[in-house]
Amino acid sequence: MTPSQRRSTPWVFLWPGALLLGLLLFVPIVFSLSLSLRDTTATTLAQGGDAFIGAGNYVELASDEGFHASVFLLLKFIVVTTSIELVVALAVAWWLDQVVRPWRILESLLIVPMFVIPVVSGLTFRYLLDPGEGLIGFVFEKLGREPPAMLGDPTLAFWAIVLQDVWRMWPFVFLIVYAGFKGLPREPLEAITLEGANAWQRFRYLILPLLRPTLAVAALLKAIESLRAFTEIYVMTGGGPGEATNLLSMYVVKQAFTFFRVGYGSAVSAVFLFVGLGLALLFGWIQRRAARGATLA
Amino acid sequence: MIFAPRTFHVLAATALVSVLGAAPGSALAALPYAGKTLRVLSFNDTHAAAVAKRLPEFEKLTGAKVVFDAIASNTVAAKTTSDQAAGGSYDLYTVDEPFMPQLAPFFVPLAQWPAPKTVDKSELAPERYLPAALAGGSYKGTNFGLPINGNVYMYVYRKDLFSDAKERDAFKAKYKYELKAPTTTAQMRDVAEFFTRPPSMYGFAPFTKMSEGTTVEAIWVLSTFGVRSVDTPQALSLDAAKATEAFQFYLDMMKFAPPGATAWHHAERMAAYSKGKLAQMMTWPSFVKDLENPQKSLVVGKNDYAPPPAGPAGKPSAVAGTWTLALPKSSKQKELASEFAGWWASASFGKSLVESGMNPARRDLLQDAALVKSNPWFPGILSNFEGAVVRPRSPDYNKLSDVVSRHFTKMIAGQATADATVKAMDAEISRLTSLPKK
Repeated sequence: MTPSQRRSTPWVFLWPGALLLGLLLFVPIVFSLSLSLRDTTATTLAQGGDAFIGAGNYVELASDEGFHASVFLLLKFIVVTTSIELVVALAVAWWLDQVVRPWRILESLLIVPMFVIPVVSGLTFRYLLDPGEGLIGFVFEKLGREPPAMLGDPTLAFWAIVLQDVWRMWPFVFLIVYAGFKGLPREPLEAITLEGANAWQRFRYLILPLLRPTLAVAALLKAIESLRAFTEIYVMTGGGPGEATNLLSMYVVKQAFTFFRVGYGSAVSAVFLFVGLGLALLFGWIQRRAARGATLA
Repeated sequence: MIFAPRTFHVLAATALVSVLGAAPGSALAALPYAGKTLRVLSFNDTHAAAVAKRLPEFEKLTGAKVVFDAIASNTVAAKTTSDQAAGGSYDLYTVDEPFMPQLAPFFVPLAQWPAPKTVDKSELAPERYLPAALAGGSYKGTNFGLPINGNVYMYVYRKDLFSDAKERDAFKAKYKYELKAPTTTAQMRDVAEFFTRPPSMYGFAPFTKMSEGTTVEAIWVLSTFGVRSVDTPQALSLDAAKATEAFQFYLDMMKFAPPGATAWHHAERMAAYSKGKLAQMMTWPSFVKDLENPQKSLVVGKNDYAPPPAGPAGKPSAVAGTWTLALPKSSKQKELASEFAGWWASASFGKSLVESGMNPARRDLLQDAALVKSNPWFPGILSNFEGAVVRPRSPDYNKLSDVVSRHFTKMIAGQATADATVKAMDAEISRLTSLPKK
């Protein structure tokens, strides 16, 4: 086999898969991007066809207050949920890393919420947070207090969807962080313990710096995951009250499938796509940097 | 014997199989639509499930095969739009009332539907159906289909409580008039206040989770208080005083709702009423069957139905919500589709569908003595349809609904007063309805 044949052989086996992946992945994206340049709505379709409007939809986005509000809300949701989940995951992973074997059964049990599908989780929280019939009503009644109507209050409704996300998704972050803990070198830990460092000092000055790349990866993957938050919010609040929980994903669906403004909805999705792409590139960069660091070490 | 016994048996068996096999085949071939396939896109509920179960009857009648796709009700309009945008793969669609203006350009007017061969032609005659139900499938004066269910807002109350002697005496002592189904919103408020006894009983069941349901609730209260429309520029400012009074009434009624009712959907309303925690409620007839189902309700046989209370304008108001069977221009099986629509909407088939929870949009079924006996709310549907409010007939209805729902839920959440809500809603509706259509 000549060197050139050797180089081309893998491509012979790869092209069917690459073609299939291309069709499944890139065709919808290209189609969606092309739609974002058209005035496609139910009305224009019914009237015989939509027209090419160039950047018209993107220009409209620039002055669409609803879009800006939903982007801000999405970013707030990502920052809040990711931060809380990181802290919880880190604390539990740290604790589990130190406990004796019988407690390790929790490693499996703790990740159960991650397998609950979003619609079931959303509905469960909708009923749990019902002040009349739900758990929250029961608890507050026992405490002799008026239960808060979380889903009907614009401020609390946001925290209700955060609470649901934290419950369902913290095990996802935990798995990554815990794997990081398991991969930590034991020698420096033993050395610093012999030097007299207490648990907090071990964590603050050794574990945390060593875990930083893992935490960055966990945060980024969780942020990318948060972009998809839709079903659970749809069943919990429908985006309300008012616009209190109208995240960007809700906004896209509303534009494309409720208002049938498919072209405009595609433009919003394109922005969404680029945000996701940016986060994915950042993820790749962090991974490469971490790998380089590991090699140098 | 000409054939050996064994050969004879084989030939006899072959002949028997051919005769038995050919008989149904030839009978099927003689049917008017043999070999054809009809594709139907439907909403998914017990009514649609009952239709799907009975499809073999239609297939036996016509020889056609029916592909019946039933999907979640709130996704039917989007699926219809995308399917039509791709050329249209269905021969018949079910269309929810608010979406007809937007989707009407895809459909054939009812007057131009082909006449069916096996179903009585008069089944397609508009006179058979309630005018307000037909209006749900109409746009700009043209009717685009056959209504297949009659959903209209109705008032349900606990007749056991209202007829209880002690309750009646106490009510009369407090309000100086007899306890009965309220005929005005003022009486509705009194009833709500009287029966509010936390934590066991409440007097008001709002609809407050942001969705189409909140828009319906807002339109119900606005029209009850005499607001004429919500879909033209300055419509609300023209009736600003009435609109503010309507919203203030709703906010006042919230005091008599169970805790946390600021994010209620159908499920919460039904759960509270079914558990006996509510004395009265506005609801859709499609939910009433469950209230009278012993497996789902603790108040079976304890309910009665009445027209919605009238507002200061003196007229009761009920919002309609009809599903219509619509025939697309793109269908290559228009005759067969018309046949199927006539079969589905027919009186004879409708009688059996009532058992599955379908509420008819036909006067003859709503007045059928046997059906009324087993469905005592039918007269209520009939009377409520007489003055029913049809939701705005605009291709931009969904945007309009979003505006109404958003501001209404903000008001319920305490972010805006009734007056501020009317102003904000009006400004946004005016801006929306003045824009060139997109």
